[in-house]
Amino acid sequence: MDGVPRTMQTPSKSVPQRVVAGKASPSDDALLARTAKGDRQAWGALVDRHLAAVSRYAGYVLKDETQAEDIAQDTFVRLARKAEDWTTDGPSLRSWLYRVARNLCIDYMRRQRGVSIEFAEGLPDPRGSAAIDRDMDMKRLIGAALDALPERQRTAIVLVHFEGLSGTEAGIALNISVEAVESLLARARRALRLDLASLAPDLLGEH
Amino acid sequence: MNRKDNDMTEARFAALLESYGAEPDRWPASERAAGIACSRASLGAGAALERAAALDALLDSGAPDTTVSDELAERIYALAPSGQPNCVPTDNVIPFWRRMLPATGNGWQKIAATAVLGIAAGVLFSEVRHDGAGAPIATAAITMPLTTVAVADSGANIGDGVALGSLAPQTPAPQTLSLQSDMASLSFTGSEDPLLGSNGADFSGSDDVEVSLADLPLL
Repeated sequence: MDGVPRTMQTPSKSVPQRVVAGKASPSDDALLARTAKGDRQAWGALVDRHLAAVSRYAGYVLKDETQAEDIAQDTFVRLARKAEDWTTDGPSLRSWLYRVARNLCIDYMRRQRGVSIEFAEGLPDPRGSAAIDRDMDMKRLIGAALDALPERQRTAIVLVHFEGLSGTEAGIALNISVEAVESLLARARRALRLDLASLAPDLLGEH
Repeated sequence: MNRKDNDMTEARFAALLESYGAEPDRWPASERAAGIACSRASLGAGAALERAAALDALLDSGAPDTTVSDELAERIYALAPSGQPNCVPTDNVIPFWRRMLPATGNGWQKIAATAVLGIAAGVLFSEVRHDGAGAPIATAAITMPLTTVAVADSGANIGDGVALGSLAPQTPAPQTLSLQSDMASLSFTGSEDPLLGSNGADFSGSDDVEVSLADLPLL
């Protein structure tokens, strides 16, 4: 697999599309079927397609690169074991992967007693915003705002906004209905807007 | 519920923006066309779209640039199933030592876990018993396979079926391992399930919690 670019794609503004111009990529289901028969290239294609996103998601949740790698690895161990029994009438592979990764993250956090699943690091006190360096790294700022969200809200916004899952796919990953996903998303966006508006009002057009 | 284009109202359009933001690609496919039409129908809708787009842009600017390490990618490439039933190579999956200790948390936990593991290793591999007359008698080595071992209250996990490597078929049955000697007595309870709460079907691990760890029971 050498030479395969492994840099995670920065999530784009539009939903990621996996269609190569003029030629559709094999579906996840097709690749899994080939993987189950021992096709290493198909497995490699699946890894290339999904590893970055799973690892990134775990990183969002755990804020620990090493543990995020372990979670990504465990997720793919389970996928390798699942390939033989994969059925096309179940959830999409993306939903399945995120759900497994999320559950692994939760299990990991449960084992680390003292680490709250709510990740209550929180934002800098908005009352101190005037003192915030204007050159503060925007990624850090937004990362802090995401950290301040309850886990399910953060997962919903990460899956739908950053990773491009549909509401339905995110619902499968979270084991909730689409309507519940939309509720989580709306609450997450309201909270993010509130938090970020106090720190970067000009960027949100709120003066 | 699967909403259709003709269900689009101003309220629903506002809800779309609140949930999914301004990018139509994120909206449910069945409502996309109507949502776009709605966004052009009034000044108010256009303004709401712009407001949502501003938040989208701000969030996009905070998207992390992370990379997958070559080491991780190679380990996962190596997991490719062979095509034989129940045969997933996991030899190099997880460094064994990484899971010997708590990854994070209090230093005393790591120290305690290390100490207990050291004692356990000593007992396992060089168990010695006194027969009452002072002459030490070596006993047979304990060779029971170990899956997951929860060590007292330290939170340490000693690997699992994956961490221990090998061409693991599926996981073995739960088991309890008890070690005893005249010098020391240690007791471990084996826990097979490496994922607490696994449903064992399509999805692994716990499901859907939004709780504080303070609410969770101790091991």
